[in-house]
Amino acid sequence: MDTTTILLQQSLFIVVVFFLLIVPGWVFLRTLFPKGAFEPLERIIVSMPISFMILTLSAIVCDLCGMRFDRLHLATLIIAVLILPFALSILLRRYRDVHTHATLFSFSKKQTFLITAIILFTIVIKTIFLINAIFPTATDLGHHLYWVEKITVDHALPTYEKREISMQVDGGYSIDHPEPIADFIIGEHIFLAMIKVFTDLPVISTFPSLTLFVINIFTTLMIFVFARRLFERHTHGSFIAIAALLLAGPLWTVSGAQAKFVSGGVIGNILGNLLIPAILYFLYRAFVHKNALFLSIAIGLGATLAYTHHLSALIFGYIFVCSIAYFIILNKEKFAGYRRLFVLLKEPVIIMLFVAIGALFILSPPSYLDRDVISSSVGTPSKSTRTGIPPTELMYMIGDARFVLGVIGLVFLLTTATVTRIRHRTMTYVQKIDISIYALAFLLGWCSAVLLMTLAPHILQVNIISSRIATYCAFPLMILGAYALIHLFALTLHKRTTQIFVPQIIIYILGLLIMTFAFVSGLRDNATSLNPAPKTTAALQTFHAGEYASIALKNTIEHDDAWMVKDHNYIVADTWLKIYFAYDYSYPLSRSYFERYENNPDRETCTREMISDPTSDFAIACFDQLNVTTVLVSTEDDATQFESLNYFDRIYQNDLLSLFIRKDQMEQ
Amino acid sequence: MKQQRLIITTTIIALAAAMLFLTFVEEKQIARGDDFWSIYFTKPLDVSDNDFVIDHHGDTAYHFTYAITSLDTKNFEESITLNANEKIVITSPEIEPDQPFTITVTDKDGHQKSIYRK
Repeated sequence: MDTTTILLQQSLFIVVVFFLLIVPGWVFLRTLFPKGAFEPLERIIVSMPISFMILTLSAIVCDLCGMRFDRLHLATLIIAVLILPFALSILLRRYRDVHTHATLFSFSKKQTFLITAIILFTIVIKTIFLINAIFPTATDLGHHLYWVEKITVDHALPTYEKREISMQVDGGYSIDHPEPIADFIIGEHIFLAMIKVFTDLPVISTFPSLTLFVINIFTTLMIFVFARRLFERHTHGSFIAIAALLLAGPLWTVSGAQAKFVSGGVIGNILGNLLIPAILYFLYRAFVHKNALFLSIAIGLGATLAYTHHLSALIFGYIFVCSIAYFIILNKEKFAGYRRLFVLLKEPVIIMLFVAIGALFILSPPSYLDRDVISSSVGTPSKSTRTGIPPTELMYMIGDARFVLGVIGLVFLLTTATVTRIRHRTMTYVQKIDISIYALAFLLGWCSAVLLMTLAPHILQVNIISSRIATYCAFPLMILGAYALIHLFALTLHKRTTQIFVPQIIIYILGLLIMTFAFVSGLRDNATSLNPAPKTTAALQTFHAGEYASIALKNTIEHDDAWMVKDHNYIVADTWLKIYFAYDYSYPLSRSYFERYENNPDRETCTREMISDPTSDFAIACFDQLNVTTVLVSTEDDATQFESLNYFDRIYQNDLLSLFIRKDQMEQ
Repeated sequence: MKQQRLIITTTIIALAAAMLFLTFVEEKQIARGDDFWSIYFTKPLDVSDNDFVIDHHGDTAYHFTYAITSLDTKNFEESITLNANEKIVITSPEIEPDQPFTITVTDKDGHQKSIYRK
């Protein structure tokens, strides 16, 4: 493709991404709230989760009404969501009143320079990592983009189901009718499908990873905004937010739930990491400003999270419960404190609550809201990988300096909370230490919940792989670490240091050492996380073979009498093959990693035997019973088994792969 | 306000520039990686049609020799040169129905690939 075409295509893509992911949210916030409710920087950043909420929920509603998922209808939908806030602003005008600090996001020139430099540094480091990871080969991304392709081909939101191989009563095998799968949720795919519809870009391209990259950067900015709000009354609140930006941005910016998740296509996690702080942000603002609209938005975002990622939704549930627990412990105003919260239960909140519950549990429940799925995730941990990870391993996963600083910040805040609780003072004492009870409750609740779920899941009855939850710990620890950092530095500046017996210079050197430790640790983690050169040639050959097979075998596939089996062990980017066929999530069938067959004795072994030992009686029976007619394998690793057979013809070969077809399937 | 607009503008411009840069990087990787060749039947399911394709992905012209062998006898052999990113459909000579045959293609470096009907 020539440079001009690429430039034009990508310019359109960039415009569409920013338009879809920012404009609806920006219009929504600008229309529904007075100008002073959000400062410009804050509004732009918060617009992204709001836009995501609006697009996802409106697409789900429109699909229920039978709307076709094509360019014309989507354009109409976008126009409608841009106009609707104006109508809502009239209906909800009595809830719009918000008094806030007008200069919360006003920074000095030096601070602006620092913030801009940190953001640029973050973008540069992530971009450097993505150079060797932007080419589409990631397994998870291939699985997800099958559904994105399905949405755009079928012009409707998909039913998440797949066909499985199962053993029959007589010992034979068959491919069942489609059964629901809980691994995918609609919110992960709607926004990508919208971008594809408007830009016409193929899913096998950079656009999905680049979209996730934008969302990942805005997650960092969301942490910055939330930190600024949490410490809005703190003397050094600006610096805490900037320190949070530093800990969330350029340091440890590749491993964990950061750039690696972007290239790996861990879509649900990336979206969950954006939505969780966004929900907490709006909850915090609702309680501080006593504004029902903020609470309604938080409920809407919560519903969006439930429609996007089950693990993040579960984690948020625990965060919310822990935050309530902390509020109950910290609240010294007894009934008056709770009454202030119940005052928020106004019409917009009640309506939003009913709509969210109705949608999630009756109208359009996500596939994972199933008794079996829930019972397998909640309860006593059933495997060794779910019993928690040691603190040292957690420290390694999220960055040692960040973990240590975060724990120090947690200790500082817990001490503050304990002291204020023990001393019989009113809430104004909390105000004197420049952090509201709600900020304390949310920060401590957020951190405690994810730490407990990771380190001691049995306490919270969580039965999920602990290493998956561990990545969520980084985010509250970023804010707490920032608080610890600035608090330590503030000790050198505060007048009270004359009362401390430690000389100021020692505290100053200690602070510098901590900063150096953080920088070295964070940047070293980035450097060691960089990928080797991508396997572009291998992936291109997989795509070429897939494209050939999908065209050559099209008619037989559609009649369901020609299944294909391919190998997952030696073929690069093999999960992307299903996008070419767009027939069933399980097409082509796959010989999985060898250890998976050994670790699960109940797993079907047809897919393994058909490739590993195609001459065995068992494999021959599998070929016949499952109607498997074609085999795609690595020439070097698996072609030998087929080359010697009289009933397999090779119909395609490139440098790496061979495609075989069973002779009796061809026309006579 | 001015500072906030500066932060917003810088962020969006930097993001857009990074996205464009990564797209061009990917195009370059494809151009570098798109260096293989393949052979395949044009109609693999139709045993009466034995036409095949030599599909050359590379940025330089390449020389190929193909041979059609049936019952251990080389029935046909020819050499061709394909330009960069060119593919060619080759009409096979008449082969008896149900007679096994193999099409072997060898490139200038001696690498061989084959497709066949048994």
